[in-house]
Amino acid sequence: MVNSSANQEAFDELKAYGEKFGHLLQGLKQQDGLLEEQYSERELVFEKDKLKLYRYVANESKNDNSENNTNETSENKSTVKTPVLIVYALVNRPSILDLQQGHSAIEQMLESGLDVYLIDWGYPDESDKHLDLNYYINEQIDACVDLVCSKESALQGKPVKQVSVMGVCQGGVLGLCYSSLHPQRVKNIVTLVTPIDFHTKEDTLSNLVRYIDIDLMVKTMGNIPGDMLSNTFLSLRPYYLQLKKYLNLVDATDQLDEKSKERIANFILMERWIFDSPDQAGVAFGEFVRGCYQQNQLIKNTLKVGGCPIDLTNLDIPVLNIYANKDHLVPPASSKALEKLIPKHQYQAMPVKGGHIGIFVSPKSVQTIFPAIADWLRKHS
Amino acid sequence: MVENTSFNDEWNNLQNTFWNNVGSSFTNLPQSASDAGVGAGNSNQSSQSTFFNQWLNDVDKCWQNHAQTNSGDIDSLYKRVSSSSRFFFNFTESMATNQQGETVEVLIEKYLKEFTDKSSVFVAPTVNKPTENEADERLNTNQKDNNSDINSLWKLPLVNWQQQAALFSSQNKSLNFLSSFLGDTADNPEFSAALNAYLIALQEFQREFFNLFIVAAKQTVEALKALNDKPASAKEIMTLWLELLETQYLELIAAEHYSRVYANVVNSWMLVIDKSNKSYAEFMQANLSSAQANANGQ
Repeated sequence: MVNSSANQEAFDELKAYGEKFGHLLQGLKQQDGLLEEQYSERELVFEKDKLKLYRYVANESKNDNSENNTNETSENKSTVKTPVLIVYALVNRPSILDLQQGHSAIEQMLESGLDVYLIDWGYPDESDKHLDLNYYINEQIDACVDLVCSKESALQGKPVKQVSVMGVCQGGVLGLCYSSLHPQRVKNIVTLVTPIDFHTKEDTLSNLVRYIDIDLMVKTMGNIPGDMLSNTFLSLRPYYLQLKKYLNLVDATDQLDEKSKERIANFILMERWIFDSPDQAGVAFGEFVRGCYQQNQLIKNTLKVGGCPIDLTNLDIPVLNIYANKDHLVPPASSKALEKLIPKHQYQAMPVKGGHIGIFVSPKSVQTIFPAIADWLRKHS
Repeated sequence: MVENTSFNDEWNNLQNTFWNNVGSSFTNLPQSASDAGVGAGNSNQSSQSTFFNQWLNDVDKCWQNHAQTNSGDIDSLYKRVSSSSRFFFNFTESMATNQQGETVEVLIEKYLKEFTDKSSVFVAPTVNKPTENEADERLNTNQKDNNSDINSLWKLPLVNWQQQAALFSSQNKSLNFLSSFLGDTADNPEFSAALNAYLIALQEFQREFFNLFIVAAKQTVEALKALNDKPASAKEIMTLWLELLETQYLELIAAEHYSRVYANVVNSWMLVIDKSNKSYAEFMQANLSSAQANANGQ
């Protein structure tokens, strides 16, 4: 690019960019106020402190129509006996699992015949700063398991005493801890992009927090601001996540057709999710960072919750461990380490293509992963 | 979905006015647009007087003129897209407007020299303990941010930290109180020492990104020289640069050394807030005692 011809080239490039920018802005204006917080129909079945437990309602007509199509489909959609309790991470919001039609992991689970319950931890405030991991695991998850079992017992007309736990990211750690402490309540567990070994070479997030004085931080801050966590996650790939990503969005908006409108809508939903980070209860955050990220106690079987040791080698239930090959937040090696702890006959791994978030929102991933989970649960229910 | 006719009309008018009538004069600029002082316009968002900022400022106005229906997340997204676009426009302009017909590699090398010369005072090879005034000055310098020009690229990872630090301090009333009412930090040696320690830690933190930026820029020059097919667009050049930056960055943040540097900046800032809490408590206690003594005396 040189001289006036360079100027002309630059001018043409910027003018073309400007036109795409205009399409994008018009697309943003069109979506304003129209995007829902979540897609699938659900009922609130339990509340305790900030926690809300939802049960998702299967779309019967959609299932009926699909079931009539082929025998294979009908078989796939037979209901899985054991209800699934999704334990999401304390950081970020579970809405990522149900953003929009075609992108909803929840919708896919329902269509695959799963009976789905989801824990929404809510937004901790100043009054919650003293809450610890024991509270979240032994009180909150346990209360949800009680509720799910009693609700399912009533619905199924027979005693239901166990749930399948599906833990997402940090929620996988919470779910494993719960399963270790309450093995009689958990039929099996599915872990998705869950960190187990926090000291793998690729784990840059762990490297960032390795020498943070977490006690001083909790003492000073009380709760840890959710925006701080968002910024920390962004700082793992700042040039892409704070610059290139937005330029790519503009570049992809050649015209404002239906496909572009859908892309823009999904982008808005993703952005809303990324920056919707709840504050973290200070004590629990400190315990998690110190115990897992700094001292790597989970894989060493030295982590304690409420004074009780978490020994995953004693976890004698079926485990399905799903990890993503391009996960920059929880490197595959970190998740794969679970294999070393679980008895061989109980362990199954499912590596998938994609990133930490992408596997929950990419239609292709969602349509592959969640029916496969349902199949596995069907075999182990 | 509702078509926003009013917004579309204003947008189309803006496009026609700028690109057909104003923007085309860019191709005939004698030298770099910033040298010619073109396009400063009504910019209050960027210190850069670049040609296309005029258009971007008008885009901002157009967006804001129709902001009454914007929900918070849409508006936030607009700001992020706008900020990134502003950077891209300035980058493209910098790479395009040169009189001597220099290649992109030469332009980047020149830019790099200018960048290091200007910054050498700021990023000294060794860090001495700053005086009070130096500390204040550095703090102010560190908090200035302009996301629109190429120089901002090296500071991009710092923006994350600045936002975190702002979050910590905004949640902490004592820090604001301290700066408003307690005046000179020299009167408060513990707080002053904590602040100085933070500023030293911050300078070391900054130096990591400064060095990283220089390495990545040099790598970009080498990569461009090695390419048979030169990038056809500014976007491609910028993408190459950003990818090299990111590669270097990922290596940096995976290193043991970096985790210590990062922890040092976070921990020292926590200590600043902790000391301010202590000073605040002492100040309040002293004033309460004084008020009680006065009340008893009456």
